Amino acid sequence: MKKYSTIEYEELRKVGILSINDPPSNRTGKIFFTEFYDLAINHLSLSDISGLVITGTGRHFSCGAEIGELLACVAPFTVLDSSGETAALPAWYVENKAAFCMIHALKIPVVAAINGLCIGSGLELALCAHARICGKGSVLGLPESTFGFLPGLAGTLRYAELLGLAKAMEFTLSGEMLGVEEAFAIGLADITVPKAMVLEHAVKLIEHIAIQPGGYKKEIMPRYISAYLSVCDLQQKPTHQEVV
Amino acid sequence: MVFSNRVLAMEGVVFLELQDSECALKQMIKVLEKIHAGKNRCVVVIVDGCFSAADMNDTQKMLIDSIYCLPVLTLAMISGSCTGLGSEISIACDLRLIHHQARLSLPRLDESNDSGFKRRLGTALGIDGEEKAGALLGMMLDSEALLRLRLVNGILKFDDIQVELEAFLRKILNGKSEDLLASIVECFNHYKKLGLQNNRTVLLGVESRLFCRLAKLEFQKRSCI
Repeated sequence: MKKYSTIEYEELRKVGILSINDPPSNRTGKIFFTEFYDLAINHLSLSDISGLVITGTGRHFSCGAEIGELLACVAPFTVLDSSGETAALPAWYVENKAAFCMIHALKIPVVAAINGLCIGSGLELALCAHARICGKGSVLGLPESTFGFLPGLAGTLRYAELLGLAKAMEFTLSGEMLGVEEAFAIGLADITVPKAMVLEHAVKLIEHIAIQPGGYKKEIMPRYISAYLSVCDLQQKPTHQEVV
Repeated sequence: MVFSNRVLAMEGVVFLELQDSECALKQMIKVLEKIHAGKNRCVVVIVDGCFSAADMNDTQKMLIDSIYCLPVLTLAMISGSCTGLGSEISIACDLRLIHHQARLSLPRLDESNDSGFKRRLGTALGIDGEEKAGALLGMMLDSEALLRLRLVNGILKFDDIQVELEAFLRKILNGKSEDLLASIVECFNHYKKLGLQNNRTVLLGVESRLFCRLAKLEFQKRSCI
């Protein structure tokens, strides 16, 4: 297994554990994206693991990209046509987005184990996961609009899919940071647990799914989560599921 | 009348009050035709009271389509309980705020009288919205239920709801450039138009195109400073 400078990857009882490893803030810089692409395309897509946990080393999941570096990687290689519309996208950006989307498209359960700050492209990576387990005190948000642009790694679409259009648009526009309670109430976080138990529950959820009959379907993740919560005797009910 | 006549002093915010007369609806369509991205930052549609639940006529359908596809942010201000056209217009808007005592009655529809409401409702609800939308048709939902379903952005709890509306508008509009607002609306208009169930590659492409364009503009702006 190749060694990376910004990512740690290990396998525990057939569960892959990918840690963003650039503490304390676990920024998703240029080196991280290059290494993440290599790991996703050359290893994870070919692996026989039963599930994948994505987490961060230390206190935070990830504070996202450094804005200046991100703009310098994207802007000079974006071509606009005479009407000011995008005519060509930077290859570096297209590759990174493909790697993020490949994680979402994996046929095995992908669970983000979140502690501390989970912001910007860090949250976009967590949104590519099929479920998000958050430790108490976590903070989630896509603040890109406050810097003058949009989330660009599937964040707006995943927000819309998970939160519905109105909430997705509100949070994309405001760039608001959400505490774990609000994130759970609107469906951004699926399970909240004490900080120290985040990774343990992520691995256990994957192991719980692995023993279910019929093979894994990410579309029914809420059902796997409900069943897992019953098994663990964790009493949690997202309010957005109460009406229908 | 919950809404007072005090004019909200926010640049680029247009207020339209939904009225249930053919003539007023035609006027509203004309006003919407003149609203363009850039000059106008947000259209607030005030929906207050009941509107006929009968089948939509052509003018009503045209109004709903105009609001749904408008290249400017739209916000439904639901200050009274509504049915029929009131509910249709509310769901067609991008964002919704509701008075705590107001309710929204979702029409009972079948294939013969659904002019796209079920699809719009399903998309508004998110990835699993199509199934949920079917179960919700015909239900009268109070503000708390609408908030739990994430169909409204917030509940306005006080008598002076204009203060709360103004705070919400400032939160989402302040400091945002015309380009940024127009791009976010364009991005979500694609999601509305194509739905969230299919076309994932196309939708991700829309986000990529708009992200790179804005990143380039922001980079140029910072380089000038």
